[in-house]
Formats: sequence, C-alpha cells, structure tokens
Amino acid sequence: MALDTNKLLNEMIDAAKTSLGRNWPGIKDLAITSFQNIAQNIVAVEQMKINGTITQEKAAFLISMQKNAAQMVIATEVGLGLLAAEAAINAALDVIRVSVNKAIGWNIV
Amino acid sequence: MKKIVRRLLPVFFISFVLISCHVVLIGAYDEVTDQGFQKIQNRIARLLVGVQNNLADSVENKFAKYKSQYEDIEGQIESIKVRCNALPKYHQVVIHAEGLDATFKNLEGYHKAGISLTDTASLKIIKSTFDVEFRAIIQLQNALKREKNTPAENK
Repeated sequence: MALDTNKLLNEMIDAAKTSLGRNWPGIKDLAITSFQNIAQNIVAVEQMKINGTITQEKAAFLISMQKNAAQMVIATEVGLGLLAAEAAINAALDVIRVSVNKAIGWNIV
Repeated sequence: MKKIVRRLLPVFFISFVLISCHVVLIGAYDEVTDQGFQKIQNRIARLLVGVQNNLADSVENKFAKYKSQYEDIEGQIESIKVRCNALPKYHQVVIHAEGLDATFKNLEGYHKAGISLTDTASLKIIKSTFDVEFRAIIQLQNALKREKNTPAENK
C-alpha cells in the first residue's frame, strides 16, 4: 500500500501532541513544518523505490536521516519546554521572594 | 523569646532556600557551540553544492575527491560533541550534536555507495533533512541566547 504524506504527518503530530501535552502550542509551528518535511521525504523514498532509482542500502541511509531529524526536532521542543518551565518556576519564586521580604520587613531574600 | 525564634525559624529557612533557589533546567547559551554549529552548517552546504554541481560527472563526484572535506566536517562535529558533553545540563544540545553526527555519517555512507544523476531526488531529500536539523538547532540556540540576554528582573 502506498504511503500517504498527510496520514504520516497526522500520525506524527498526534504522537508529538500526546507526548508534549501542554507544551505543544509553544512548539507546534516548528514541529509541524519539520514533520511535514520528514513525511514528504519518506514518501519520496517510497516513490524512488517504485521507480527503481534507489537501492535498499541508500534508502536505509535516507530513512535513518529522517529518524535523526525527528529526534533533533523533539530535542528542540523539549529544550524550549524546559526554558519555559525554568522561567515560570523562577518567576513564581520571585513572587514569593517579594512577599517574604515584605512580611519579614528585611530585604534578606 | 524561644517562641519567637521557633516561629521565625521556618521563615528564615524558607528565605535561605529562596536565596539559593534560581532554578536551572537547561544549560546556559554557549557562543562557541552556537558558532560551531553555524560553521558546520556552512561547510555541509558547500559540500552539498559541490556534489550537486558534479551530479553528471561520476569521476569528479567520487567520494575520494571529497574525503578531506568529510574529515574536516567530522572533526568539527566531534569537537562540538565533546564540548556539549562537558557543559552542564546540555542534554538537548548533545542530542543535536549527535543527531547531526549521525546524519552526516549517513551522508558519508550514501556518498561512498556512489552518487550520480539518478540521485538527484535523493540529494533534494538530503538537503531538506539538513534544513530541518539546522532549523531545530537554530531555534533552540536562539531561545537560549534570548534567555541569556533577558534582564534578570524579567526572568
């Protein structure tokens, strides 16, 4: 059965959405563009196989590249999520810091 | 007096925790790493342009003709990998360096298997894959850079 770019794309997006949960909106633009490229590339490899213009060895290299790229996109998504979480935690601590200083009456925090 | 001390003790404890509590979940921006990735991107682009221009010339496009370029880029990727592994909380950037290394080795393997006019479509895929990878790298590096340049009071 021939591969479908949109089906592959939707499957990848669903998996990423589930895995990233609330962090998804912040990184969806990068993820969708990248997954689109990866899905198109996988379908192109299939087409080359059908046309007889690629060997199994070369196809394996191209597919391995797609896996690496997907891993790197996810790493960026996780990194951006960590940065957002870091900023949120530190902002929350700052708020407590102010109220603690105020309650004690000394700027010790 | 003892009562006051007992009441204030938790407040002092919390204060102490807060003073030392700037949470760091991901390592800080590193200019050398960022520039290293940019150099690698440039060299890979040049390598691929060379291969593309010689698609019709199977002699000029032999892997042996590009061996020194491959070695040069591999050395640079290796150096970035070592650096990132030495930086604290740099796991995501390490994944970038290792992913780039793996893709570059795939390209090397592909090239060793021979590149000719029938590989035009493959070359397009290879270029677009590196585009995806460098876009991912740049996006995280830019976010780290923005974080570094954000004034402390806005963090």
